[in-house]
Amino acid sequence: MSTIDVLWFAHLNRNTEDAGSDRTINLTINVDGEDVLDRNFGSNVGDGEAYLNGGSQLEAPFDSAALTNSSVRIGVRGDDAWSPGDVLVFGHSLAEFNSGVAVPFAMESGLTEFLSTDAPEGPLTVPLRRVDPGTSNTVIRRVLLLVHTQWSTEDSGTDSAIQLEVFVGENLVLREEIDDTSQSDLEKATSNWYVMNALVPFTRGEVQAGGRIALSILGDDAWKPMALFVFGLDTASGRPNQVVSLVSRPVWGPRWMSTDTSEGDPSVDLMVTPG
Amino acid sequence: MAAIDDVWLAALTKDEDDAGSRNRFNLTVNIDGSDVFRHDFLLGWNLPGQGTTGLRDGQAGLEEAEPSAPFDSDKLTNSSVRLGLRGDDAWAPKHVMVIGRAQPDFTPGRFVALAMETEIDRWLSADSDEGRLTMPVRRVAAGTSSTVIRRVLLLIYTDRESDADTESDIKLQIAASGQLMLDQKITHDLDRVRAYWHFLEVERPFTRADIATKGAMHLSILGTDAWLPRTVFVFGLDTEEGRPGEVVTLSAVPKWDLGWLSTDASEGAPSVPLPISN
Repeated sequence: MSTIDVLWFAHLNRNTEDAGSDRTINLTINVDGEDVLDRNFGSNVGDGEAYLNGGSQLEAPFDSAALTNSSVRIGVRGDDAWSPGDVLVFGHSLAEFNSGVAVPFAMESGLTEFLSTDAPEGPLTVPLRRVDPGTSNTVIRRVLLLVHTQWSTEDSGTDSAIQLEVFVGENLVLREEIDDTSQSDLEKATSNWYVMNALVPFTRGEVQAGGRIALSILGDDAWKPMALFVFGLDTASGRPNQVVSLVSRPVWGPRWMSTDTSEGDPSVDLMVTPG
Repeated sequence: MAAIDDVWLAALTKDEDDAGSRNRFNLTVNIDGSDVFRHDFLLGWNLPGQGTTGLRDGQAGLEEAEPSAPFDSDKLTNSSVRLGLRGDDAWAPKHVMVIGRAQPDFTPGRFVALAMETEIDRWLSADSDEGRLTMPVRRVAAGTSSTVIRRVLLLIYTDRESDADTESDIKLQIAASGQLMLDQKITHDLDRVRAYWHFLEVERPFTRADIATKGAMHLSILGTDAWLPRTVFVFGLDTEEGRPGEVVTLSAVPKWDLGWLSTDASEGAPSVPLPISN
């Protein structure tokens, strides 16, 4: 059981023509007939682009264990059709905020439908099925990095590449350089959704036992993230059944990243989710 | 298990300013993460020259649609059914009910209430300033022959045939265990291609078994202005007010084949017995 009182919503639009929408996205979460959440998100991101938002406290906290596969739905509040490819909903409890525990509870990947209030264009809403938050023993075959770049500071975006590495002991089990993808990478006030394959399957428990997760910047164009999450996915492709929180940084903090050490840190070890 | 192969949406719009909507009404039914039914209902039909489709203030709607494949009603949960609006012409529903036809253990199919909300306090709209995009419609149990009925819901829909409408009053009577349990008049006009939703008080509680053993249901007309219904549903509710927990199907005539009603014998029958549901 996890009491969710802070919620995050992330999606990656399909990289196809007109997939983006400037209309409000509607998320509902229902527990036994009662809507515990009915929230609108002003996503407004384009084709192939990502969105990450959340962090505010919910009026009605809910127990994620009470959710079913019919509980969570997303829709769009207008006729500018929207086609998300991947969607993740996760939360955490304020009590666990400082521990860095995030609880993924609904996810879809590989969606193909357009959503719209205009009936010929597609369904009004679609369901987001439950995912299990897994355990420290869940075997992770892919990693999802969600990051939102700071909006309030001049030049917070970067053109430099970044790199995520996961070590089990001294063994490198994942290394991915992110540079010039189809998304607007690491631009000021933008979100990014990056999925990367593990070189060797691993578990969170193995990383906790002497390993580490490192985020590096590979150039001197300084970058300041605002929020960052890393999740482990149990499937090598397609929709995961278990999504394991690896890193949860809803507030990144004051430090910048850059290979120019006068501007920031070239690399940081990210605190691994406990438990 | 009840395999549902036909879905009906019934709704009554609040009778207040701007409660009606010209937008389509979107119903989704989800079982374990899969949408087994999605449909956009018009609900309010109009004859040529009567304006656009949709529901006006205070107007009821009743419409049927087939799922692409039958679904098991036993697998529905309180989170399964949602009703939404496909536009920004905000709608204020008062009562909503979802009915299913179960196949194939009886012929013709047996109709059961699947989900229901009453005295709804929210508006629906795609415009976030006006209301919610969708709302849940919770499950109701279909009850049994032994469920004690304390209120009756009469849903009627008048045919589109010329002169099918009437200005005559009509009456529903239910006798059970040798006593008249319900005797209620409907005193407003019944227009063509219009649905009507009426909660009717009972004289005393009864069960469907009481009707079957020593009783009957009759729908009558009290005047000579002949009337041709298209659809008639009669449900028994287990609560005197508020949202019911159990909704018992008393009679279901989705396609009326019992003839015209009129006190003028040359035009129709003054009263017809309604078939009692299983």
